[in-house]
Amino acid sequence: MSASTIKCELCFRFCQIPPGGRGNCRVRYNLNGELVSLVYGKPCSAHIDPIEKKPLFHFLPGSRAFSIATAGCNGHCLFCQNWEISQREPEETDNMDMPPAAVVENAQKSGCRSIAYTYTDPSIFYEYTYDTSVIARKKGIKNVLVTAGFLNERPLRELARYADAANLDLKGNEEFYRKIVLAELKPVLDYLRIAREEGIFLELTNLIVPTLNDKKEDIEWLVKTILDSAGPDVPLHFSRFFPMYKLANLYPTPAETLFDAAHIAEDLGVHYVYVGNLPSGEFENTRCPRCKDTVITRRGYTMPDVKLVDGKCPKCGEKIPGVWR
Amino acid sequence: MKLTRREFGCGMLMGLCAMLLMRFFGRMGMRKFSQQAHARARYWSRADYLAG
Repeated sequence: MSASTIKCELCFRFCQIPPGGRGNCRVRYNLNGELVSLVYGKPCSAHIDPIEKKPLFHFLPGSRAFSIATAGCNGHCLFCQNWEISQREPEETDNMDMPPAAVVENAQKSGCRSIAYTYTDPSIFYEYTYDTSVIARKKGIKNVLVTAGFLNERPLRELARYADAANLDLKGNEEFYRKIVLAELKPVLDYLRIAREEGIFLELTNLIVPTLNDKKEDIEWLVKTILDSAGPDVPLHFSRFFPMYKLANLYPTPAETLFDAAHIAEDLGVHYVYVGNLPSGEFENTRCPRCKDTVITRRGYTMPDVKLVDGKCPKCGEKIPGVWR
Repeated sequence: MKLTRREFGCGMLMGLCAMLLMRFFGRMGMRKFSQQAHARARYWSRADYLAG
């Protein structure tokens, strides 16, 4: 390797990038011995989404999130639901010109209370996320990370100063990460720990993929890992898989599998369990863990009916964790 | 004005060619644009110890 090879220290992959080369994420480029981001201010997606779509159920319910993503990703999940942008180079996507200040301005104009860095992993457009977050914080707009959790400790702690909430994907056990996600589990558990230490409000998502992480033991392992590392109060979303990318041969996750997983999580002690990507009735609602009364009623992405009073159950006064205003 | 089948076919073909050309040159432009980049990335170090 030549003297101007670069070691990227942003994520667990620690890519060694020769001059003219790119990292595993396809968007960090060694330009004459300097590492540059090819996607700074160039999102390939920008949408106004309900915050429930992230999914974040305990964070400003009923509000809208200005959601952005750039091409590329440092994960390569065989089941990726956004592979058209995540497994592409920035030259292969149609990108907009939207510097950080313009993102914040667009969010304000469209009445969004938060900016979500989502669709692909925000760790790969770190500088863009960071600079946008700083401006958004100044303007009173909250920052939301929807992430697979591959960011290293130092950049994460730095970003955490401006991040208000995160939805972290916990995809499966170590073997699942190695064979299906083509990554590692440890950085994700580290992310979970650090995000909690830094006071980022967290919710977790698990995409249940038929035949690969849908067994009872898989769900039990996942739930116990969550309870050990985050406790019972972190909301947990089980999400339905649809055939995509390299797992187009599989079938969509049956509804029973998702409901069974939700029941297992509840039985093991998780207080807030949700089922997403399909109409799930009771598992869309938030119930008070003490008196079991429904405190937030949801139907898809329509405006939820929030009965909380100062973040507490109106019936028994139990505090429900979340950012409610 | 009424178009003959041949005129209509030619028009469609030219339109298609124009679209393909624009896409091709657009990609080339974008690649060049990307390579010229942009924001200096954070969190990296020179791996000089790997020299040689």
